[in-house]
Amino acid sequence: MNVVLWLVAAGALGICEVASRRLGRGWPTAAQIVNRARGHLVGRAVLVVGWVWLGWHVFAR
Amino acid sequence: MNPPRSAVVSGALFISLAACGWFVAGMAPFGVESSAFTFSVAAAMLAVSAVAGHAHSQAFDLRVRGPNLGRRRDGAPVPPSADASADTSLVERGVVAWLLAVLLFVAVELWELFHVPRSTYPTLSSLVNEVLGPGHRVARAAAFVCWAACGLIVSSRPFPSR
Repeated sequence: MNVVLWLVAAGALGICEVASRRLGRGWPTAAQIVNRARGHLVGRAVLVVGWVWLGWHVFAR
Repeated sequence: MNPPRSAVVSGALFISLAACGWFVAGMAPFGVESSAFTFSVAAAMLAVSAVAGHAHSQAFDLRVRGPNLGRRRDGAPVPPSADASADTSLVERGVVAWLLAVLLFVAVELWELFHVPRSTYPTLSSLVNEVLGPGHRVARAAAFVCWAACGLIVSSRPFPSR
């Protein structure tokens, strides 16, 4: 099973998160981006649709 | 909601979700029952989130829509928040970096999706299925509880920063 590409993709996300915490103010963390999306109705709607789809995809399919 | 009552409600919610997770983890996949149950729990989580958000809405209104907007209750100006004093160029670079990382993730998913065999080119779903497949009931139930708890977060407004 070839998981090298997945490790690279996960590493890129991890580097972004670590960079946001090391650089401090300015570079947003993943939680800050999600919180920003939650502040708007459209953002919340997108998050909720994605969340429902995820649950259906993992637990019902 | 006072702390003891909040703890009781949180505990009851957790136990209910764990029971639901154990129940749905034992259901056969690709069935109407598992779909109906998952959507029912999602609807219940959205309802709980709406009720909890309504309970906090009064405090939210006092802070954001009050006549002394931009000032504290004692009349002193509110200091600039962390977001306001953030380095704009660093924010832009951070957002671009996050976008590139997410695009890389999507590109890997599409690359794997359009190649066969699946055992050599696993998609994210097939990787997740190795851990949370129908044969792994405990992990599946735990993941269900985490997923349901995330629903409480994503469907609610963030609390205003102090």
